[in-house]
Amino acid sequence: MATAQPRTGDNNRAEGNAGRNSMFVALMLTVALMVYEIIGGWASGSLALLAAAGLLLATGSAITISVFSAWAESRPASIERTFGYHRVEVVGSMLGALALWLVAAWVLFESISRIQNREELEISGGLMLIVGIIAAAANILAALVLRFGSRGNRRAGEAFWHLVSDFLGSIAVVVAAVLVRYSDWPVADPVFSIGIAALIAASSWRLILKVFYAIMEGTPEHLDLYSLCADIEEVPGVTLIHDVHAWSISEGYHAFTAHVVLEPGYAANTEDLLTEMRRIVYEKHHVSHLTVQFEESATQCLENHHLGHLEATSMFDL
Amino acid sequence: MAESQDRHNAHEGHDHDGHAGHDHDAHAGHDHGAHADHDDHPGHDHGGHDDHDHDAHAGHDHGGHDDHDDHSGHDHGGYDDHDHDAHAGHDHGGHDDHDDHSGHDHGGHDHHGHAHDHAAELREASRKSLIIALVLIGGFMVAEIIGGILSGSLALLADAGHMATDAASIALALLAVWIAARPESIERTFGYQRTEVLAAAFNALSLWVIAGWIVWEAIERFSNHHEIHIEGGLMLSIGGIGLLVNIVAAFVLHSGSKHSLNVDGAFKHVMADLMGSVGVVISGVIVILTDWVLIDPILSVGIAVLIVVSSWRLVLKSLNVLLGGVPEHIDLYALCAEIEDVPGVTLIHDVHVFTVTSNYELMTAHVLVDPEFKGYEDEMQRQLRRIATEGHGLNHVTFQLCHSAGECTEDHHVGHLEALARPAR
Repeated sequence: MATAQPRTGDNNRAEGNAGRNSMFVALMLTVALMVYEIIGGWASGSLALLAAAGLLLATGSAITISVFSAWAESRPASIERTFGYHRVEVVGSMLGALALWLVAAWVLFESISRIQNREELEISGGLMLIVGIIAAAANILAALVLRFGSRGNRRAGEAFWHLVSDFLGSIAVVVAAVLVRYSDWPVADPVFSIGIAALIAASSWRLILKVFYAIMEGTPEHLDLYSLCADIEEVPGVTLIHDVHAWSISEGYHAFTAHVVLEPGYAANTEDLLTEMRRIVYEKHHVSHLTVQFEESATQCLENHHLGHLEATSMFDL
Repeated sequence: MAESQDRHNAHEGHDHDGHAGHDHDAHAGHDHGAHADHDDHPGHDHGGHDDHDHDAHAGHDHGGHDDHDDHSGHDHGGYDDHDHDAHAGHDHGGHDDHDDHSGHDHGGHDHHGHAHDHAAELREASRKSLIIALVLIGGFMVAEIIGGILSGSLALLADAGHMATDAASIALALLAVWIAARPESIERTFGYQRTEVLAAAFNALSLWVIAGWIVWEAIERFSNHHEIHIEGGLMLSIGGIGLLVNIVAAFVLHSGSKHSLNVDGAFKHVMADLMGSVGVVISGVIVILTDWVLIDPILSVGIAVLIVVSSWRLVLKSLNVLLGGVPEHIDLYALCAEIEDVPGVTLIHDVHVFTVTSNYELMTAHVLVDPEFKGYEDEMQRQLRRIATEGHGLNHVTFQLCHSAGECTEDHHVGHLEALARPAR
């Protein structure tokens, strides 16, 4: 149907296929690197390496969520989930962010307890240095794979920034290792670990904001709801619009619902009115899903959480 | 008028007594929405309403709305009185009245559309119970901290730590209620109401973390059980008082936990601590009687399992809401089938149902109508709305009646055939 906005979920899917392979490669690299750093952390007694592994966990979970949610979005809507699985990404990101807080909290507490018992610290600075340098190199590799393997893919772009913060973590490990090895200052390890914990928390922060606004069901950013309502009210026969809701189910999949009060006598022409509404909503305002309820009078309408008509137009005076 | 004015004043006094400072904000935000309702009625004096709106706490009240509806499209002079009356009635009625009202409304009278109102009213009840629980638990926690510092008892301080997680979960729920009561805007047509669901999910998931931590600690105590020194007597008395406080707090939160996921999250935390207190008392008694110190970690693991089991459904429910799923209590197949039985309806498609927050469930659908029924749209709308709201408990519906599906380009339909193909539940 030419008049309708394509469901942009489909666009994502096309893009997703392009970026998916490189994301899998980046994921494999990340997981391997994480295991490697955990083993290195245990062997050398370095908390900073374990913390850096925590950062990689953030990256790995972000990539996993992206790949999984891209797959989930392609599943059809069902009677239990009338919007399909478009929200898997948001909820997955939320769970991922919570897991990161746990990791960051553990690193923080462990750092503090190690600083308190610093006489007992036994860290092999040399091993830590070697492991750290190799990890930093692998990190750059993973970032490059993602960068050049999936240009223009939003999800891969987000994962790329994760890899950048992983790289910062690896650098912190290397610096701490140098301090441990050559300055004989073992406390550098837990101190730098606190910095890495802060990086972990920071990498969850963007996730949290994104999740919060998605879950609040805010009006899509591109949409000027005032002008949409004004356009609808200018259609001949329309008295006023109320009970307006607009939200994004996922990127590019937006919904608009409203109740529209008609002048007496227009109720019989709802097909023409609907066609006009569709033109306004689909073509002019690029919202792909419309449900509009026509009413002869608003007195029958008992919902009282309306965004009123006057409110909507008073915006123009501002 | 004089009488109602008096009552209004009385209400104001009441408000100031019992509520926190943000109370008025919450009301104002809500009122706004309520009033828009009236704005939407053609021929009303919009300007006057708007002014009125922010002064009186209109629309918050169910009683008020009953009148309100009956009179919609009527005089405005009396409207003022309505609100004051209504509000006074509501507030003086107190908590019990409140509940009665909600029962009444769900009973299938003509107020189903007050979903939002209803949700806000329940939110207000939630807020009150959360504040009471927070004061109880926070007060006991402070007493424990002071006692712990004065007596140097680590056991008291440790129990204060338990109370602190409860207090934090209740405070989070309260914060969510406060944010959720902020008004809708053109940028956020559902306001911030879903903050409540987020808080519920966070509280439920944090319980799992706590359960995991309890198990971890128990394992450590198993392996180092020679180092366990439990002060049986002191533990017992602290645990006993903590248990009492938790029982009262749980009692306060219990009714709210049934209608609000958010309150349920706080309730589950209090229940978890309550189970912990029972465990402390039991192991204290057993340690005193038998000196068998291993009972403590054993009971801890049992409690951790209980915590996970009891919060399991809350986790699933809140995640389902966040995923945009159909609420559990709604049988969408039956609902669609009933709608298709309405005379003139050919089929229903493009059906969407989701929960904005507890007690605010939204449905949109496209309904294909037999062209012969042209001119009866309003009557059909009424019937459809009655089925969805009174019959199935939805709070907010938008039905688009179309005469042909050919124009309808949305492709994410929950199809009619699917609906009929479902096996009987």
